[in-house]
Amino acid sequence: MQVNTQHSGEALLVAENLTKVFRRRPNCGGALRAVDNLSFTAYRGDVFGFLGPNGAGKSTTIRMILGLIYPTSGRVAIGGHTLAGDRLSALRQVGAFVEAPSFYPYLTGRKNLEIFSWLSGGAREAEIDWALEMTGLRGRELERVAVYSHGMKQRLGIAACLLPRPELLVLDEPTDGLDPHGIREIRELIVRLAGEEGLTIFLSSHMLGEVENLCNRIAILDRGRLILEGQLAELERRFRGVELATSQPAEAAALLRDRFGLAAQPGDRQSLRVSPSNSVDISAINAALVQAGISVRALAPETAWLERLFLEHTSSMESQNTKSETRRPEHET
Amino acid sequence: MKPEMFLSLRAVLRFEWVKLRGRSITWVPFLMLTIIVALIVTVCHHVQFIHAKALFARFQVIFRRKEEFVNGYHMTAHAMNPIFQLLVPIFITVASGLMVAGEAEQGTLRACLVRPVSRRRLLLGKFIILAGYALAISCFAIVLLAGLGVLNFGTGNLYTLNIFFSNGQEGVSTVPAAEVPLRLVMAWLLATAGMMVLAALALLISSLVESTAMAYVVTLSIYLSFLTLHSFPFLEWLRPYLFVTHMLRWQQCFYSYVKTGEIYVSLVHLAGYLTAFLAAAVLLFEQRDIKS
Repeated sequence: MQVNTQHSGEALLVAENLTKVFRRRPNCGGALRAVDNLSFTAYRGDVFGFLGPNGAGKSTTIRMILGLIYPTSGRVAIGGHTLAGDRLSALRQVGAFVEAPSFYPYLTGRKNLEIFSWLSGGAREAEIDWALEMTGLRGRELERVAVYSHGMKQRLGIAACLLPRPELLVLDEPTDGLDPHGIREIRELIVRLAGEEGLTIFLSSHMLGEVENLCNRIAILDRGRLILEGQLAELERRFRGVELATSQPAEAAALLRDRFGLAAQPGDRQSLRVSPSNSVDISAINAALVQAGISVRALAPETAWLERLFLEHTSSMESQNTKSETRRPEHET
Repeated sequence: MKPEMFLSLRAVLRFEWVKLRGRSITWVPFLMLTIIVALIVTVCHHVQFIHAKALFARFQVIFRRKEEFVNGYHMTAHAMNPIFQLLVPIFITVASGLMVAGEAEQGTLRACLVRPVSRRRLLLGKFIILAGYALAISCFAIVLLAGLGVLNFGTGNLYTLNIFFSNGQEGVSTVPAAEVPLRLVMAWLLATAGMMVLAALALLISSLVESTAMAYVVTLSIYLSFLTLHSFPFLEWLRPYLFVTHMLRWQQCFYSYVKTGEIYVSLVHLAGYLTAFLAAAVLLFEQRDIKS
């Protein structure tokens, strides 16, 4: 499913019909189609959220984007350079870490940044200072990475991605394993990099709140297939409902159906979730319910709408897995 | 080679060198060699080469005085055998295993490969640094052996029992004292060439597997199996086809007369093995999916 893929910006990362089939022994279940005909586009300036449950194929896709894994078919282009044809030019525009950032523990944080930057053409001392400043590692850069905490390693991973300054930042689960403080720091850093530095960020995560707070576009992947792609604002407009807490859910549901033509599903503890509609606003619903003598304890936009959308779409794949290709996304041409 | 490629290779070499230098395990072979050579010198002092005298006597080579055959060169040449057949290959295998499989296991290999550096150049850079490391270890071993040997036991003609030096012939070879330093340099260079082939083989194995332990086990198993075949008396016809035969050609530097023809043939073989192992390593590494 694609929701408003129109975008005025310039395409920076394009994945077209990416497929990866891993060969396995017959007694291990035969070939595994980890990614299946996947297409999406991240535009310059986007913070692109790449969502999917564990085993959906997110890391395999990211590895194909970065040239670590060769696609069975399909192509990836970064800034107009295809990975298959001109891998080095494509990767010159990217700073990335996959899964967890890895460093040489016996070297200092600064030395790690310095030597990794050599592989990308080198970075000046001032650039290294800037990356350390951005990631809040100033003052700790001369300590060996072996003594760094998990959060510091994550931040060092982002610092390494920034050297030399890339166009596109690919971050795979950057807040994985962090405590709430660490998560908040990384989120603030991503906001700064996208806002102040104008970087395009491709963020893989299964933390939906994180994606909702940070991203302007998302793609949801399940079992290697693209389930949903679009601008977050448009998805919110289409899928975010209203949560109604009332002691008379049956009466409220009937009123909403008869008066506004809205479908209402029962939620937890005498609440209803009302499907969204462009033509009806919350105040009109509230007025109608009160007029009908139905007590309204709470009426507010749905909070966990992205989680619901994610769970609905990813779980529904299980039951429809063997059916026809109805869940296959229709891609842009 | 384009200037950009050259710059990039230089960057890879700097990168690999800083990593190698910073790793404490890099320096362990030098410490081990120092300990072992010191032990050899101590033992030689203690036993006064009695065993060697008996061996020479067995081959009906009678020296009037022990000093005629016991000297620093004698100790160096005979100690090179176990050091270059077993110890240095283990050090090289460990270093190369850490360079690819070790990095794959640690996750730093993917951190390198998401950067704009070609896999071929990265592997080539690793091999060049590894070759330099092999050269340094071999040089250190020989300088230490010869240095401590000469300091403790002096110089003199080098008498070696041929049976210990890979040609299977009985008897004693004699190298005049003045020629020995040159022979040692030749032996060092030839032994290093052999170690480079082993380094290329180890890189090939390391490129195929994602576990460091597996890389060590497979490489050493191949090397030791070939060494066993080489040492087996009834398989002499097989020897020219074994890469270890050519790796051990440095031993001929301690014969009375150096068979230069055989050494050239071995050098050609070693170059062939090196190219084949390295080309296979690059080919496999370029095509491999990095899943670790």
